[in-house]
Amino acid sequence: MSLDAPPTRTPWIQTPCLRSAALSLEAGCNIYLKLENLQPSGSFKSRGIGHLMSRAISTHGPSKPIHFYCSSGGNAGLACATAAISLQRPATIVVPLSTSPLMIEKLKTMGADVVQIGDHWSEADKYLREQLLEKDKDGVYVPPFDHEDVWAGHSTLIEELEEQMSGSGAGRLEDGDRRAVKVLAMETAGADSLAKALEKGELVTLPAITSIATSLGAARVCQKAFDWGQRRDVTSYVSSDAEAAMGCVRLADDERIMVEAACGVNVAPIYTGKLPSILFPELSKEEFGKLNIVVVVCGGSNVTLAILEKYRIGYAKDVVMSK
Amino acid sequence: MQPSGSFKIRGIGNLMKTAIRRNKGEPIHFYCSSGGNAGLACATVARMVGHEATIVVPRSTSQLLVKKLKDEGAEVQQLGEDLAAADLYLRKELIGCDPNAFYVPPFDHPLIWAGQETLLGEVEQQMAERGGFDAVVCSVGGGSMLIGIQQTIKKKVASTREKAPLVLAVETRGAESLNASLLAGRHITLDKITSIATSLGVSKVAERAYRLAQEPNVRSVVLSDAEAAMACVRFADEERILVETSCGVSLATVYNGVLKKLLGAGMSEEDWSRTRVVISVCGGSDVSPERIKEYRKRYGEEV
Repeated sequence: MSLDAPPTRTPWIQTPCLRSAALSLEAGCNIYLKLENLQPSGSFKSRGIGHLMSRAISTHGPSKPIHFYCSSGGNAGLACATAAISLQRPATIVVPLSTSPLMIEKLKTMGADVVQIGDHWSEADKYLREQLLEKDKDGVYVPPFDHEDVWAGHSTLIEELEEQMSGSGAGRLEDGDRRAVKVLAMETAGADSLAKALEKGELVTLPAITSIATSLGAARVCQKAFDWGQRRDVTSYVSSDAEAAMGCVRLADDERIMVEAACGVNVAPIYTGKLPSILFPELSKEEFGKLNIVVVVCGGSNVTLAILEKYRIGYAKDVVMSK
Repeated sequence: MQPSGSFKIRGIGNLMKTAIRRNKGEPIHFYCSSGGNAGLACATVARMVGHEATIVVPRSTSQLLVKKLKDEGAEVQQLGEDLAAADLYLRKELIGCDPNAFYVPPFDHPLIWAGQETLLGEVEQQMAERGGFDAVVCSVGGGSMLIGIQQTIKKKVASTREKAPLVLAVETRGAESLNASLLAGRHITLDKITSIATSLGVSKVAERAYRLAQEPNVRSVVLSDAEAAMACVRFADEERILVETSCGVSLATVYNGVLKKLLGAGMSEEDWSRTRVVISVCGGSDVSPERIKEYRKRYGEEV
């Protein structure tokens, strides 16, 4: 007779998608914010990582013991720790010594089992795989982004959006045919592995991450992202650190939510006035005004009032933004 | 994370949509004299449903809020010493002259309370998979949120015979119209509002709130402006959301241990750790990173 499986809760939530009056006025069209900052772990990663972990439990057998291992000291690690609580299974997060005290504290507050080892991520990951995972027959490795179960989890965001935006009249031409939705894929300079790959026509590995948006700091995007990035309806754009930082500052001022630079970059084109020319250069101001554009407010925990203040002091003069 | 930035859209939205339905779709011009979140809720709903809104606010209303009202497309008139004066002008000079006028009160209307009931209805669903909840904490200004919560609880208790969860009704010192009435044993009006939590600054709480607050599962709590303000500072750093002091005061019950003292009295640490408390993060738009900085500077030493 099998053991009773511990009860579980879905590790992510359905998030609101709200029209922003301030950002709509700035952009000159209807800007909606999909509030992934409200996910249990503070970022959209709750979806993908949560989904991967849920599926692992199903595949493994819900009444069998399972132990999750993750080597991200960032939002993926937080998502793993938080999902482990919802799913009522143990998780160990192994992070390099360079991980910020802020993130370590958040992981520990979450109740996660945290091991700090190694100078860089690769050393922490090596320790995780060789010393922990190898010796644990119930162990499951949780990758931060390169897995189809993670992508499937993230796609729940679009399923919700389709329902939430269906009444808004968006994407429909006069005869009822749906117009393809455009996707703007944002990066910061110094963490622009997708843009560089698209430029070169093949995957590249950045020699170093030099952007403050460390959550975007994957030196090499996954193959799938590169494939999708080449589609006609996907536009890749790179903003500066200053624009990303000021995006955070303005979002806090206008919508009272605090996000990381990796997320602030998404609203930067709105505040710098560049959005129309990036995505819809062919439309008149009036036509652009009728559009509904959804900004995924991915969230992220690596931000505080002090960090925002530093951004405001450090970057305000470097960016031309509306007042 | 409501459209308009606070829970008020639940109640005010319900009132306004009912008005539109009863008017069979004829044009309505909504008038509201709140300089705060009720006004924003009114303006936001009016834009969503495609009707006009005029918000009359007292001179004391911050430019931050006036801008937000205008951003939602409402007509804003700023005059009068206080809320009462703004409301008088609205009723005498504006509503009288407009055949399509509909007056939107900020909190004292059964349709508003019915709209607020949706809050706890959702909480019940959301907490069901966590095994329910033991207590709710909410702030009290005019009292519509407390009314909505307590009305929902009473309906549930009547149909399921389950024990009513405890409700903490929290106010700031200097805006404690509910607490003062409970202490006096009658429904009273405060002489003036001296708290910085202006969104709670209703000198006479709704009568229905005063009645419901006397029921055995409701406790009235009053905390200082300093505690409310520093709770906003801490909440911003910990949860990355900026809320007004009117909301911070509810959060302060956690940070200063009042929650545990009131609800966990006599409990073992283990039992207390398993207790589930829902805090209504009412939100509010009259806050910014700049304002939070001021709170830290002004109250940081005190708390």
